[in-house]
Amino acid sequence: MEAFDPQTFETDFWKDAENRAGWDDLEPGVVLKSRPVEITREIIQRFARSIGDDNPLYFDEAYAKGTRYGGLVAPPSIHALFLFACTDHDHFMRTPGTVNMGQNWWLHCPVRPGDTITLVSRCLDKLIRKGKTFAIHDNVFRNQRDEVVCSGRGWTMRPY
Amino acid sequence: MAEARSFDEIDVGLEVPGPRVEVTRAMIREFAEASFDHNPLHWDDKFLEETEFAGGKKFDDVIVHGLMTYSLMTRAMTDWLLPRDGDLWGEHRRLETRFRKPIYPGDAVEVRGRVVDKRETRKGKWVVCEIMVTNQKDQVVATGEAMAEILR
Repeated sequence: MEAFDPQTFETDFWKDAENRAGWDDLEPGVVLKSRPVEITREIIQRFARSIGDDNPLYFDEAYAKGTRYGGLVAPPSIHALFLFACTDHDHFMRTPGTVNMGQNWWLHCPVRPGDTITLVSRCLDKLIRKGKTFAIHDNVFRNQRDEVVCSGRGWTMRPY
Repeated sequence: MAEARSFDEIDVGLEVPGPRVEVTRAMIREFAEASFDHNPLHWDDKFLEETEFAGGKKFDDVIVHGLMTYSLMTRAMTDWLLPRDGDLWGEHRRLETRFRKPIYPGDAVEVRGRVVDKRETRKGKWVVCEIMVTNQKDQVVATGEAMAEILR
């Protein structure tokens, strides 16, 4: 798998879409491949700005040093970017038309600039309800000290 | 505004305000870039015009990422627990969300939280908040439940 590079990240989710697993191909419980990702200060601050969050914990080193965190951290919802960063272009969550129905997450410890995040994820369950196909996807993200950063599930409606 | 900053000061029913946001296409694009989620649902008008989703429904426009809504919902908790004066008195520990209606560019959404439960366990003090997101038509577009660990 190619290493994660925010500069060259493939943003065209149509590209090679036919090679991705459809609902029929999803194998509940089977761990999917993933890659480690270094979370830089730039990635954290761009994410915080995108949700309109100017909390100095994410931007002001001197301020953050004076708090119980002892340094800059990321907003807890930073995991929103981990899934696509930690997976390759053929991951089924990139399939155009995937609709996010709901999420639940346990937020264990803060992410800091310089952390390397790894992912263990799988499709945990799949179902048909009212004629629509759905997948339940579970994710555990850890840092370079093997501490769980956060764990959670997403529930998506599948286009096919 | 929620001024309570300790477990004992928090009562069930306490309101926890969240952000109010007028959504633009630029904002959706910025979130796509920040989160690496470039699903065409968030930028591709042609795809949306041509595609019928389950039940034959179409979206009216590009839609906000579910995880952007989720992130705005977390801000109700982090703005409350991690105030800018540096007196960080709690941790946002959990969020469960349901995205009930699409949010489109031009919508004005508001996140509101309310304490619905509190509980001391053997090792911690916990507050549970219901989180609701409404649009300018007063439609509920997302609901959720958040947990905070209170440190004092």
